[in-house]
Amino acid sequence: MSVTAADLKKVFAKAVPADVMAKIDPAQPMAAQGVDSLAITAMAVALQHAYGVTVTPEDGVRLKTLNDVAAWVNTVKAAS
Amino acid sequence: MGNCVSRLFLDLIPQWPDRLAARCRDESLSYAELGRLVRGMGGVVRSLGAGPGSCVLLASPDSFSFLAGFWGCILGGAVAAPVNSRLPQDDYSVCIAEIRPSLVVAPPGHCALEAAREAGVAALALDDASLPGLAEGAAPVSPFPSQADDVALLLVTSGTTGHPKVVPHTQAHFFAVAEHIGNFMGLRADDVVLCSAKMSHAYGLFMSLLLPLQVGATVVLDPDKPSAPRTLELLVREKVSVLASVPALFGLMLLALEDTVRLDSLRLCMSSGEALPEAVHAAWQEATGLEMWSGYGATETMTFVIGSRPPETQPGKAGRAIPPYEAVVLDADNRPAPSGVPGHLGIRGPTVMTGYRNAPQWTRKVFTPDGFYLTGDMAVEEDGVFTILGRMDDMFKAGGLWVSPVRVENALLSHEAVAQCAVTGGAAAGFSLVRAHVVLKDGRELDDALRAKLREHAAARLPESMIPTDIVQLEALPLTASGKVKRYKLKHGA
Amino acid sequence: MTTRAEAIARLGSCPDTVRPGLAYAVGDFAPDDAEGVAALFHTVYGDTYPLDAYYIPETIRRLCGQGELIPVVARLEGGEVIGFTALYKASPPFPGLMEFGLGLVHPAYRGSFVLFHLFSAMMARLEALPGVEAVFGEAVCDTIITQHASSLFGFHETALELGLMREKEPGAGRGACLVMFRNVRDRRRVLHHTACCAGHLGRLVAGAGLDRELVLVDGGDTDAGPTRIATQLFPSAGVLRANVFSLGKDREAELVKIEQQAWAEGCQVCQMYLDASLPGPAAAVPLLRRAGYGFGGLIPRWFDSDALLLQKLLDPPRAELINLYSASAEALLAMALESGGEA
Repeated sequence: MSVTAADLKKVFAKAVPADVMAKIDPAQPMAAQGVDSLAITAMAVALQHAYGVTVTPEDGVRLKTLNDVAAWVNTVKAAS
Repeated sequence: MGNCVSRLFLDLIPQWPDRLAARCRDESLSYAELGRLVRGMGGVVRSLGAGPGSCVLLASPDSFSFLAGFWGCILGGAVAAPVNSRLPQDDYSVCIAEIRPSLVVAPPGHCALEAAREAGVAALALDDASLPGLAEGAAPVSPFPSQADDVALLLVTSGTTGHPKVVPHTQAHFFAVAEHIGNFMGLRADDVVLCSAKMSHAYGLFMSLLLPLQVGATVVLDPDKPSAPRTLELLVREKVSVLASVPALFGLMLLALEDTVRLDSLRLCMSSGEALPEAVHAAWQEATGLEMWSGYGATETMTFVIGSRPPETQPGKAGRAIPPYEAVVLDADNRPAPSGVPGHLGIRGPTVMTGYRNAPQWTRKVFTPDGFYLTGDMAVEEDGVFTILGRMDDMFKAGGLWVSPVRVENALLSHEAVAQCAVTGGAAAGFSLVRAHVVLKDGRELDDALRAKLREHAAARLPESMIPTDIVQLEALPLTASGKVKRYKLKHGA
Repeated sequence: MTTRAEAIARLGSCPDTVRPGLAYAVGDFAPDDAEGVAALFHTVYGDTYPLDAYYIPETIRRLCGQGELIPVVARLEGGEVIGFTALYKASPPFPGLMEFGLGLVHPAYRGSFVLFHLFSAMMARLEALPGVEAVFGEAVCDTIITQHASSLFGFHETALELGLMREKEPGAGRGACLVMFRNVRDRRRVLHHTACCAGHLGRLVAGAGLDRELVLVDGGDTDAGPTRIATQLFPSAGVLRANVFSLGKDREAELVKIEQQAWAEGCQVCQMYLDASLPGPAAAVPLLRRAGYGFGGLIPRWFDSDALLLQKLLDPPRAELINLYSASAEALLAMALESGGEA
């Protein structure tokens, strides 16, 4: 089962304020939609807990949108 | 606020964590390890109910346990009350009744622990074998925010007779000793320090437990009773550079010193506790090539208040008041005596006790209205240099004139046959007389011929009233735990 | 000595060479990073950051050399510092308890994972940092994000400080800070307490993963020892904090004196941090509660030993301003409000 942006919204429920999360467009950069560094940090830890994947600095600079993150999770999971 | 343990010692450890803080029975203890043990023992002491302000009676011999236990107590805000480790059980019971400790610390099987049990006081069996485990197992305490006038230390005066007196010293006194006597002694990080006086006495306490640790030096601890052969052995084996001892032991070491023994590592020799006889001073200098330092102090002053360093040291004299201490010689009405006239030595300064604990009647007796502590010693001052003539109690009249035992002893010690000497007053057929107790060199026997020679020798150096009437030979002089001659014992033949 | 004004002027005259989207690496602070750290503070905060030290590279280097500040930085290949986090020595009497609460990212890297990598690197280093025995943070309860992020990095809530001024919006009312604790190295300790907080303490101790021997003291017990209290005033937060190291027979009068000092200084909050390794301070809890103090929880390792937090507020806290991320944090709030309500 591949991970979707909708799955990620559930995983990130506590990482990102609910009002921000509700309005997020998965195709648009998260930073532009009110997701700050602390929220992204919490998201990264949530990814570790939920899928056992860790964002590296190299990966991190490429992950701009929620869709980017979902695709990256699927790639990393497939490779492992 | 600031705890003397942290500021004088623990906070400095990061500068020299791997240096040796102490050596004891061939075991070594680094500063980092000692720091951990002190913090751990602070926790142990507190967990046994000795919280801030409560007293801990410490009957441990000089050892790592003593170091860590003592500083641990003070770190957690408790008051350390070190007492001689070689007392009979009854004496500990007296100390416990007097000091009212919350905890008694002593090695396993020590009679002080039994005295504690009888008195219903918590007891901790501690020796160097159990120390690391105990300290590591405890939650360490953080430094208690002590204040300058918090009592940190109780010392029990040996006193010749009667009830022990308890002398409180404060946090501020530790800081003052560290500063003023630290300056006076000038210890260095590369020094190896040995003091023959035990840490249950003021002399041993500041010399072994405070001054070396604040500069990162190494202190050599000896749990055993000090003896000349033992001290000489330690001097050589541990490469001691600073030796602090008492005249009696310097005298005995000279007797035991063989020509083959080299004391090359020594750089500083301090004599305190009693007046150093001129003859011992000279012989020690001849044997080691080192001029002697001298220091004078009392339990009530915690540390040296008068002292001299080479090249100022004058044989037989204690020296000048160490700044900022003030010393005065007082007459019978507590007025300053003229220079050159013997009187009662009074001391004022930053580490002088404010009074005996729970004993205002004794405190009143030992302070002048100007706040000078009356030491109980007779002294004379000339050109600012003080000579200690002896205990007031030891001074006696013979033929109606005052005799200073120290002066007579110095005269006899300058005779080549005499190794050690103590002079007391005596009586024969109702007449008071001067009696000299001598230990002779090289197994010589005191016969009438030698007696006559000694009297002749004394007569050339002393006023007629001080020439010994009676001279007796002893195998050895009776010494107190701190190495002072027990003159009262000689006097009363007890 | 460089002044704050000089340092800020110098920083303002340097062009910002940071470009977005570049590769970065996270590592320990090196002395050469100090200039980059100061530049980052200036970029992020302008001239408004309250502490002078972070604008002055020499001071940053000195604090790091003394172990007062333990940073981790994110650098671009050119050496520019684009992210910074640090443990720092703050107000606890025990120097082994360090505060964690600084995290800066260059605006060009907001919305990136820099902060995650900084925090991860810091947490991975904790065990190896000499002298660091525990870490705590104060999460402002305006939002739950900080609390949640902290919990994800192994921090556990142990106390709730009520009524701290929210500096950003003076006049907006007083919220709270959740004290979050992470143990690094510890050993079994005695925790004295009185019956009124026994149940709460058991839960807090277990939640923080601490090994404690809970020793009940009678509220009437007192040490015969000295009373020793050190106060710290935080004017911008309107808080007077009293570190109560020990309490003797004069405890009641001494505690009243502290509270009077707090109100006289214009504070809104009086906090008592009671050293729980001794029976004396813990025994004062019923006394304080009768005087209107609420039990705010446990600050582990505050004194090296743990502190019990008792707090009194001139005005009641506004619960609607307090957002909490977990059921146990909500339980802390209920506890703090309930006991405070006895006044």
